Amino acid sequence: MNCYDVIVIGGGVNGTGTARDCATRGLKTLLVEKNDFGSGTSGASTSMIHGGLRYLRTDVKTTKTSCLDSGYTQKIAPHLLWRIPFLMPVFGSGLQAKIYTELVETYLEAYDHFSVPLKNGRSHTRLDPNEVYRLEPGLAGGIHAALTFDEWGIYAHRLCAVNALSAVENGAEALNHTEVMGLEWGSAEGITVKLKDRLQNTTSKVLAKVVVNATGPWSPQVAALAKAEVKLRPGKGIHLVSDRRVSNIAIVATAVDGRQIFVLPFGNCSMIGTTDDDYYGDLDLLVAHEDEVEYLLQGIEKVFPTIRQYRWTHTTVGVRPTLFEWGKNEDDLYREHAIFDHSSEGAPGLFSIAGGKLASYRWMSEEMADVVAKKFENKNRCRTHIDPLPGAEAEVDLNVVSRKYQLPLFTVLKLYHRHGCRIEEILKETESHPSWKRVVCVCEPVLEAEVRYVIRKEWARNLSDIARRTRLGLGSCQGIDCAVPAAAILADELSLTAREIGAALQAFFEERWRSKAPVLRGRELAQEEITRHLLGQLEGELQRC
Amino acid sequence: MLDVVVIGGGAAGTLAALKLASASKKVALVRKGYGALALCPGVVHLPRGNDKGGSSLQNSIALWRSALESGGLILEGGWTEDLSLMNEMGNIQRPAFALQSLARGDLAQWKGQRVALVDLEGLHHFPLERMREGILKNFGGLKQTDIEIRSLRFREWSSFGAVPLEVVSRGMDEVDLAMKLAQKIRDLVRRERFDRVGLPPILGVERHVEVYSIVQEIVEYPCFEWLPFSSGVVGLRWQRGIDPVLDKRGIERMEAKVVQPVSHKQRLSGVYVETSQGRSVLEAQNFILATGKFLGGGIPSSPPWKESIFGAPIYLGKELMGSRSAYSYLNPLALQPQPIFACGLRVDERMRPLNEEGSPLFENLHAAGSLLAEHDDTGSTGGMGCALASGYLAAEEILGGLA
Ligand SMILES: Cc1cc2nc3c(=O)[nH]c(=O)nc-3n(C[C@H](O)[C@H](O)[C@H](O)COP(=O)(O)OP(=O)(O)OC[C@H]3O[C@@H](n4cnc5c(N)ncnc54)[C@H](O)[C@@H]3O)c2cc1C
Ligand SMILES: Cc1cc2nc3c(=O)[nH]c(=O)nc-3n(C[C@H](O)[C@H](O)[C@H](O)COP(=O)(O)OP(=O)(O)OC[C@H]3O[C@@H](n4cnc5c(N)ncnc54)[C@H](O)[C@@H]3O)c2cc1C
Repeated sequence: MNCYDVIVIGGGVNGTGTARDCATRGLKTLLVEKNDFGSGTSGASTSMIHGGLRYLRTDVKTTKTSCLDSGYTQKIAPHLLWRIPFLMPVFGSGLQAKIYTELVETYLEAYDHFSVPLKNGRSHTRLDPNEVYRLEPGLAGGIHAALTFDEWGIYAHRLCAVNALSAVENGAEALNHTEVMGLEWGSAEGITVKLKDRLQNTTSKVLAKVVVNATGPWSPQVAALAKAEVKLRPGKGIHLVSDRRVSNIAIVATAVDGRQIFVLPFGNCSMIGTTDDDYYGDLDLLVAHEDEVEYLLQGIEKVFPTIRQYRWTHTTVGVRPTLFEWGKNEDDLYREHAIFDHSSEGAPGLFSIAGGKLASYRWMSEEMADVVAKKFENKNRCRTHIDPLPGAEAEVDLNVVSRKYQLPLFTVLKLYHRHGCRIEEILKETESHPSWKRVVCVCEPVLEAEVRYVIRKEWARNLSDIARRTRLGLGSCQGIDCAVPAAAILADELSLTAREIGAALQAFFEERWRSKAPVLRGRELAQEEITRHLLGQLEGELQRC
Repeated sequence: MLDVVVIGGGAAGTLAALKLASASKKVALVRKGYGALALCPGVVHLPRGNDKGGSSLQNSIALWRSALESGGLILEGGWTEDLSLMNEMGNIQRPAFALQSLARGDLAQWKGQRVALVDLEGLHHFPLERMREGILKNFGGLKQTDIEIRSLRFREWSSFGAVPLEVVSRGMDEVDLAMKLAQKIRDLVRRERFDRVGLPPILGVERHVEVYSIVQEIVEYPCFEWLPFSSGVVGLRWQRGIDPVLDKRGIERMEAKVVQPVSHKQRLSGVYVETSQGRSVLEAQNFILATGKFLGGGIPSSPPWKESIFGAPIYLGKELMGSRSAYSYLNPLALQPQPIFACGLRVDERMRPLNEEGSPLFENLHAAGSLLAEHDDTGSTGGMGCALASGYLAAEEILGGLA
């Protein structure tokens, strides 16, 4: 039986971050993820490496650490980030609007103290109505003034993938589509961890001296495998995603219950988010509800009246692993994280880490790795805030790459935002396989070479994995155009049988369906007729009598 | 004065117009564009569980067949046995009828034959070995050695510069290019004895009939095309191919959008049609509504659920859809089936759309095609068969009334 120093369960930001940290400190590490890296809460988040503006009022420490860590993230993975300028319009007139504007400005001034030096933010500015409408003509009338601040967006799916990749490059092993089914004590060598390979449907056992449960909202379930407890108050949140940019600046609005929501640019698309509701349903089968969709549209409509006319192609859904507190509104819940040592519950060597935010994942992972390292009396320093993540090791001149491989600069730029300097490694292959320059997904665009790369080097095992790594199939066609060619590449790389290809396509369309059904209306509904015929073609027919 | 205005130029509307014209009625067919017909892969599935003896179904297909034929397109297949046609993945579809170039790929006729599948490098998603593998697995009684794959390298065949099916097929409408490709294919297969040669569905769009016959002549073997992944190439062939037939039969074609009724109590006296030139009224004795579902445009894809032109109520089964959201008619947890795709108009025994009280909207308005309720025409559930048969029925009702 394989024996590890530490097994990290969960391939979200916290699990991959912890695995990376443990591995760089020289611990023998195994990372297991039951679905795919980033497929849980992390990939469904708003993906903002924000400085914790919201917590400034109640919890300055969170704001400060958030800003600090945001600064680190910019250094270790600059290619995965983009700046998101925010616009906070103030409506109304007279004294009330004036006072409110002053208040907000004071608040943002305070935020500048953290965000500007620590996370390379821009100081807030105050715009008069003329300036505001010039910037965003789509805003509703009656604006008194607007304030700006900025945050950073990050490609969260890829952040998880590159953390896992970095862990492996530092000696760890990583398995996706592998679920932890049981934890047993009794062996002298450590904890026996039962694994199930969900693709092959096989089981195995491995040993570990320390097990870290970093399964986000699933952490109570995983802790329960050892009869231990993690108490969360899970909060479901959704986003709507459009087929194009609605605005170039993120716009803040107030929802009917007074919560702040926004429409923000995300890659080629825009996103509206988010909701926050207690959720105790099935974590593995999340769907947005129409009430949640309506809540968001209604809120944004007030500041951006044409919002319903845009084409909302799909939703994303996640559950926040918020720590449990009684008697508070969802939004006021404390975002800090906690590390649970389950030794007093009869599970020595098992730790859970939960809570926190994507923005502070690295810091949380460091704390977790500190605890683990101490167990092994490992004195190595944490390096995750200094060492570049895969893709950030070197600078690349995109113009040179574009000329060298005769690819449009835009394509190269998009590829760079996903893979950083490893773009060279991907494109090198097209020298011996010129046809791999073929664009498989036009929305993004994604080249055949990239699809092959993520299968070979980044553990993509099905179409949804490919979508998470490359954004293939997440644009306006939702896979009608690109799923079949991508499946063909997958089949070629993994030698899939016809039945397996059919199953892969079915599974992908199943996932797309759950994600788009909640916003299926207008042209999406008409397009769905075509998708359904395509499915009919894919399945083939049974012999009819 | 027109006898009938047919609204919608998909499968149902076209067939209804043909039927009416065959009875010497003065017919105008108004369509705002292409619907599902133009996207379907050139095959007709019959509705499941039908007795196949339904006379309107048989008559409608006979009429569809003869109309296509007078435009040069041949529809093959029959009532007693379905065709077995494969796509690139080797999955098998079983439509009853198909355009000749597709129907010639019927696997039931491969027994004891040698078949060459032509691989045009860069055009296929899947290697053709996969198709062969799929065929052998999904269709019994064939041997590996019966099916040979012959390949042309990309630079040998592609003068089109682009590889999507649609682009190549349009390119093939240029007869010189088609001839050149046919010669290359001939060089590939002529040294051996084959009984038929399979090609991807690229044999032209507008000039398919000509291209198909040239290719067969040059290749010197019977050729067939396999089914596309719903790419629209083959659907466009018959959507376009039927236009000259409509003209020949004296059916007036109008590219326009019908927007509103002009009514006089229980009778519809005309409809407003809109073109880039403006609005006008089209008057007639009778009307057929065959505007398709969401894709065609017959049902707007957002609530309130009212048919687009006349505002007729939309039903899901027996239930009135009203103005609840699309979401309330979907099951977001299961990919298939989705009840909303079986929504549509309810009609009386004379195919007239009903209002909420259950009486006909107008005494002289009939409906047909996928716009009707209780049939989900997505997938391989017999969409074309239903559309054609209901178009026929609606026309018959009008003829009965006129007589
Ligand atoms: C709508 C929404 C918006 C958000 N926006 C932001 C934001 O803008 N900025 C920000 O900083 N934070 C944001 N957050 C919070 C942030 O996303 C989460 O705090 C963070 O992603 C949690 O990461 P995690 O690694 O702990 O959990 P997850 O990402 O959920 O990872 C847990 C993983 O464990 C796996 N797993 C579960 N059970 C097992 C098992 N038995 N065996 C193996 N693997 C298992 C799961 O498949 C999953 O991938 C948002 C959250 C939501 C829901
Ligand atoms: C991708 C795909 C694959 C398919 N595969 C198969 C298959 O393999 N086998 C099978 O049997 N069936 C198949 N079908 C189903 C079949 O094509 C449809 O059931 C059939 O075409 C429906 O015919 P229809 O006339 O009702 O509607 P449509 O063909 O959609 O025609 C509607 C017409 O109405 C017009 N229209 C709409 N509104 C107006 C207006 N206001 N004014 C004027 N004109 C208007 C539209 O422009 C269009 O011309 C497939 C469909 C698709 C989309």
